[in-house]
Amino acid sequence: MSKILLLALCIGLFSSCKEDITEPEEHFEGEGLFLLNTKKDTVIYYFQGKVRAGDTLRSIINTTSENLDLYFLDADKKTLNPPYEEEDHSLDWVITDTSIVKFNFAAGKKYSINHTGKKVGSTTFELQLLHQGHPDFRTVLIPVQVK
Amino acid sequence: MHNFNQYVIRTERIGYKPTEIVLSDKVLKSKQKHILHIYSLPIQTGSIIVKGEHDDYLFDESISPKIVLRGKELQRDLSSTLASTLKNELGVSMRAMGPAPSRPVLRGLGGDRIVISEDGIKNDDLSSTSPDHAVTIEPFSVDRIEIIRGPKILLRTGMANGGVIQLVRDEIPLKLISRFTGNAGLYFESANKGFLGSSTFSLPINKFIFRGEFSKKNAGNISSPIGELKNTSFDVLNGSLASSFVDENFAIGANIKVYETRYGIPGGFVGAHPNGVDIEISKLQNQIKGILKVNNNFISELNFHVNQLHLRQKEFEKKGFIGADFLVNHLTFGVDASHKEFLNFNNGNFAISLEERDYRVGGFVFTPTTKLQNFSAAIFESWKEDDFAIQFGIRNEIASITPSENKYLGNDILDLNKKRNFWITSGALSLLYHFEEFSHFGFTINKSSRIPTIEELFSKGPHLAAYSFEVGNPDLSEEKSIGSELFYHFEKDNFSILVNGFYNYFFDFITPRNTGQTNWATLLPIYQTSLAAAEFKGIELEIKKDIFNNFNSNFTLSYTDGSFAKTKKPLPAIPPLKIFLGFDYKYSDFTIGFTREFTDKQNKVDEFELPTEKYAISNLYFQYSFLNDLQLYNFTFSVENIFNKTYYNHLSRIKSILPESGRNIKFILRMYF
Repeated sequence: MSKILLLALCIGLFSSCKEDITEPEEHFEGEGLFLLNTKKDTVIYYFQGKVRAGDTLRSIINTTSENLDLYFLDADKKTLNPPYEEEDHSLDWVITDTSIVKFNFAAGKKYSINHTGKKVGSTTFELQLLHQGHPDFRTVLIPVQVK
Repeated sequence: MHNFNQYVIRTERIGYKPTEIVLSDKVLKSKQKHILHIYSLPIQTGSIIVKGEHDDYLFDESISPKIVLRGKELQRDLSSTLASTLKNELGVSMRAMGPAPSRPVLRGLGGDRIVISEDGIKNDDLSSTSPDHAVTIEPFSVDRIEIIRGPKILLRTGMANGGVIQLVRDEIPLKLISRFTGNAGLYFESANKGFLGSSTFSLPINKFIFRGEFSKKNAGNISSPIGELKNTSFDVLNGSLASSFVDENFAIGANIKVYETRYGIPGGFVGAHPNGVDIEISKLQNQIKGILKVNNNFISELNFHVNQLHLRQKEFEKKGFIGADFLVNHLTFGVDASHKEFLNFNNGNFAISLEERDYRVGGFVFTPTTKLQNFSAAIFESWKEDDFAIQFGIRNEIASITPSENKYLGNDILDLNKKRNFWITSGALSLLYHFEEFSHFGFTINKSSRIPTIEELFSKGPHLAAYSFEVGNPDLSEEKSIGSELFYHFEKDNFSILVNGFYNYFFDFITPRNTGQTNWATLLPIYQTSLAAAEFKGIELEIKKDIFNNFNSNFTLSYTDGSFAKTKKPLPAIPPLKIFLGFDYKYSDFTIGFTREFTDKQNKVDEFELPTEKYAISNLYFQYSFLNDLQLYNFTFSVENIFNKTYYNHLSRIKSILPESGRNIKFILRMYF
């Protein structure tokens, strides 16, 4: 009995453990972003951890806004197109108080959004560029106001 | 006994009932035979715990400074992690990033400078590389913990001014036992509603011994005086199964060992994920150990081991996505030969080891897959003559670190594909002079070398659980330092005093430093591995005094000062002054004790590092041991932080949001059979 158990232990020992790892992927290196309305006016401008002074997303209660197109900025403030073609990248957002405002994707567009006021008040949101589920890029909290 | 013509014959013997008969003169003169019956009497005494310890060398305790925690002392200090168990020992502090990920720091030195080993085999997990990585060792089932310094540690590490934390549990039994034996234990603490159950057994069958161990621990979020700290829960599953064959001059055994843990890193502060990060670690070890007693004039004993480690560590964001994924395969082979008296050396050892580490990182981290190969050879010798003793050690290491091509680095200015070769030498010499009857005085000098870790060389990318964007330095040279230590020890009757003073100078101290910059894509602070001359100096004091019968006192003081040598500015993560005061009273099988920990404020901080306020906390404990047939029961009840003070550990990376636990009631029961 003891010899069999010892043999079993020895066989178990040093058998190689092959395991796949979650391979790293190329990542998106943005340092800012801006949102343009249909008139090509900049509604929100964010760069290196700061939202441009006075920029607040303004929403109207029970009204869906026009579509806002999103573009990224590199370290030199040059415009970077979002990774339109890459399926494992997607836009996401986190709203601090979801009872005040909601965001939607513009129909058929990966990097265009609109918003609808749900309740009068103020809150904040964070935009994220997800890559296989984790944020390659994220903003600080951006203010939003609903009237 | 003669009294009024009567004689009394009385018998008394240990283990027998005292008996007497009375004989008169008349009876005696009759020359009759008389039989005196004696009856056995079971003896009842208080339970006695017999502890064995063997030192190979005279003065070993002194010249190789060693702190040993075992038996009731170990049970009293036992906590949920190795670091928290040792945190009140002389010169020890605790690096932490929540209750689960913590690692001991000795004299301000942490990470890879401190080796943790189990039964002589180095623990090769990732705990030395980052503050969010837990030590994958369950301390509950350990028989003894030793903190070893001095030349002898060169058999294990090139860091002669660091230390080895050795956990002893004889997982692969290489000595015969006579009967089925083991222990079972329970552990509960209130601060996190933590509960542990543990069992260990050893079974001899002829010349074979089988040993098994299993433990399971669950702990919830920790409570502090400011409320519950979210995402601080953890659980641990630990088990091993060993079999060994023991003959007169030869013993060999094999062990399979599993350790799995899940724990949280709290979030909710600048640079952190709002809801924290979760970590899963799974470790599988296959080990072979053996001893061969050699009958020749030179070598007395050969010890060898093979250790294969497979470790997987995943770090998840709260949505369940993998942020970082580490896979380590590590193979070590080591031989240690003890020699007999040779030239003028009384004793000594030769050791060689071969290592190969395959390190792969995935997820949202861009450190390249890297292979480390290492060969080391070390010698340790001890010489003694009358009141003098000398020990010295020398260690050489050759290592090759080869990163594979990394296609994700883009136009990075760092050449993270550079192969690095190292050849390092370390040495240490200790002298001890034994003067008068109860005093000795010692001096140690050393030259230490350390090969940079893979992470220090090639890290690149956000480390989500550490809340940092880590950047390595592939051009790092070896970390060289010289050190010295002076110590004095006096022990007589019920009084002992130990004083240590140390000074370590690092020509190239490798440390990750907050650069003050931010990675704007992830909003994480950038920590870059930097290299600078640094010095550590400090003093330690321990006084033990039996105030009166069975009433003992214990006082320790540990102080380390660390600074960059050129600028004289403070190094990061230097523990503040700590004073520990303890009193205990023993009565029969009972012990009751009171301890007070005082930690000074730490204002000597690196740039972008937060200072910490001073604090003092009080603790109380009660221990009781009793014997029931062949079972010994040890019971410990303790209350830590009695007055529920809010206090912060300076070496906690998340001290801005996470105080240490509030009042904590602990209950430990261990039964040995």
